[in-house]
This record gives sequence, C-alpha cells and structure tokens, in this order.
Amino acid sequence: MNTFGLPFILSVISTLTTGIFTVFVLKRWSEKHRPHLLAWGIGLGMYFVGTLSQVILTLTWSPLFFALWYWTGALMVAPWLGQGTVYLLLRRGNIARNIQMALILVGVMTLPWTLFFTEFNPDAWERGADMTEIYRDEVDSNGVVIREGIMPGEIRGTVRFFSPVMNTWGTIALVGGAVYSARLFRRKQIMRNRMVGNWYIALGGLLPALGGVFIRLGNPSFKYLGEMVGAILIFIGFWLATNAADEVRSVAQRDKPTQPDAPAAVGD
Amino acid sequence: MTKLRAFFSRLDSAAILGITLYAAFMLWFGLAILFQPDAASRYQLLKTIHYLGSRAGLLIAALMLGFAINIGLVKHGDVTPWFRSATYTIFAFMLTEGLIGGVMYLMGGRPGEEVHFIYGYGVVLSLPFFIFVETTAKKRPAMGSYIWGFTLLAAIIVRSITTGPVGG
Repeated sequence: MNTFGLPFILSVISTLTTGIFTVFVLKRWSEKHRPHLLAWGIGLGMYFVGTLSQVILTLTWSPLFFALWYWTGALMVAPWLGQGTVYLLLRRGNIARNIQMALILVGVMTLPWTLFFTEFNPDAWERGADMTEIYRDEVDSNGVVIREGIMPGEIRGTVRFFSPVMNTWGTIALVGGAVYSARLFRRKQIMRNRMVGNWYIALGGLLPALGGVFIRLGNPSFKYLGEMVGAILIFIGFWLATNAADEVRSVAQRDKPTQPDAPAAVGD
Repeated sequence: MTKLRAFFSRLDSAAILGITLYAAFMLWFGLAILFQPDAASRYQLLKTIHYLGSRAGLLIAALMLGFAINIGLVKHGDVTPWFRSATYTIFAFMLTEGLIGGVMYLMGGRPGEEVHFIYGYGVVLSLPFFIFVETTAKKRPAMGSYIWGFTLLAAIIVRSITTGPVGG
C-alpha cells in the first residue's frame, strides 16, 4: 500500500489548515471572550488533533494516537462545533452553558475510557491504510465477520455507544442551527453574513461525516478531500459569522457618534 | 481561627445541617472502620457502605431531580439555600463514595467491569460542573443547571450500579 498517497497528502494539508484555523479562532476568543468562539476553537482544535493522529497512524501504529483519533473524530468534533452554534442561537437562560457542561462531562469520561479501557487490535492496522475502513470489523451481508477491525465490534457497553449519540447531537446542532438561523435572519432581514457563515460551518462539519458517501463515489481519497474542504468551509463560516458582528458594530458607531458604547450585535 | 469563625458565621442553617450530617457520617464511618478486627472485615464494611451509598445516592438524586423540576419548571422559582446546601452535601457524599471505591481498589477489590471506574468518576464529577454554572449564572432563575446535574447523576449512578458487582 502506498504510504504517501493522496490520502496522506490531504490529511497533512487538513492538519496544517485546522492547526492554523484553531490558532486564529482561539486568538479571536482571547480578544473578545465570547463563548461561541471558544467552542468553535475547541472544535477546530479537536479537528486538528484528529487529522494529526490520522497522519501519524498512516505512518506507524500508536494506541495513543488511535485513541485520540477516535475520541476526537467520532465523539468530540461535531458536538463542539455544534456547541458554538448552540451558544449563538440558544440565548434563553443558561441552556447553552449547561449543554457545554454535559459535553465536557462526556468528554472527560470518554477520553480515559478510550485511552485506557478500550482494547485495540494492532494486527488489524496496516501502513498507509484508510483508518475509517480498518478501525471496525468488516462483515458480510449475513453479519459474519470477514476481517477484524482495530476496535471491538461490540457497541453496547463500550465507548462506541457514545459515537452515534454525540454525532447525532452535533449534526442536529450544526445543521438545525444553520437552518434555524437562516430562517430567523431572513425573517428579520438582518446579519446575512451570520446566516451564510452558519451554513458554511454546517456544511464544513457535515463533509467529514459523509465519508461513506464519498467512498461510494468510487475513491476513498474523496473522503480525505472532504475533511480538508470541511475544515476550510468551517473557517470561512467562522470568519463570516464573527466579522458580521464587527460590521454591525462599526455601522452602529458610525450612525450614532453620540453613543460610543452602543451595545454590539447579539452574539458577537 | 478568625478565618474559621468568619467562615462559620457566614453559613446559614441549611449549610450547617448539611455539614453536620456529613460530619456525623464521617465520624461514624471512621469509628466503624477503626473498630473492625482485621483487614477483611474492614473491606467488607467498605463494600457494604459502597453498595448502600450507591443505592441511596440514586434514590436521593431522583428525589432532588423531582424537587428541581418542581421548583424550576412548575413553580418557575430559583435555587433556594436549602436546595444548594443539599446539593453540596450530596456532592460530598458522592466524593466519599468514590474515595471508598478507590480504597477498595487499593485493598485488592475489583469491579465487575473496568468501566465502573469511569462511571465512578463521572458520578463524582457530574454535580460540580452544574454547581459551577448555577453559582456563576448571570441569568436567573438557574434551576435548570440542577435538572441537568441530577438527571446525569442518576443516569451515571445506574450505569455504575450495573457495572459494579463482579459477575453482574
């Protein structure tokens, strides 16, 4: 198997782009201290750790990086990106903060679970192999295991149980948030940039999750392309959504020079 | 001494009751352990307390969830000093429950499934996260935090109970 093929190159590019984007978003958060920026920063940071682990796993077997790859990619990226949207849209009471605490709780429980209490089968690992194809058992149409995967096939009672829960929640938050904000901003005829930004973030968050579709298109490397494009779309979305607030603020300041402390737009 | 006096003078009756309950339990617990004849008896006592503590914890978490729903969702009220003190006391008991589990591990005991450790530390951590949200909340009422906290606590205790016993 070709180790330094297109999947490897795309994974390296994804790692670099997500790393740079993470720094940008967290820098922005350090200036503005807005919780949605922190949530997106953490989500992108998880994305970075996941793609970095993928690069390392293409070259060598490492249980630590495999655990990190699974924990970030299957459990954490989607809900943390969705959490940024939750902060922007759920402004009633402390709902968004409570959801974040639940997310942190699941995160701190599943990390040691994946690292220390999940048995991996290193014999299933292959140099240069597509991790999403070898991490779980391959079964035929009758449900008989053809090839054993790196992780146990059992879902109930294992850390894999959390994967559909977290991804479903993350997807609902991302896509549902984008649809909701699109309708809201269209109805109110305000902050078009934020609406478009949310769409970009939703699409960017969905692309890596659509790996199976890309495989069916005939080339697994599409999936890695999806990961890379996803990271770029998330960043564009973040840029549009956060800069929209700045535009609103500058317009407000220009139009109301007598009120220099006019409140910024909701959620900036 | 002055700091200690200042600390106690700030406490309301709910907090004093919580501290007294916990202190009484710890005193009984310490003496009970001390008067056991050997390590095997001490382990057996720890196991019994760990067992009963988990069941009592589940019952109390469910009760507190009911109170939280009643105060927060039905009456639209905020967190009362009594509720907050009860939550702190439950956290102290859950922490003690976790420490007892740790001591049992050090004495050679093992749970039925290894993930019992994960659920155990989930039980200890579940309340502090939501206590933090409630005590730092700018938007009131903030009873929703404890609805989240006690729901998760009850759910994690259920999983702890099912993964705890050997062969269970």
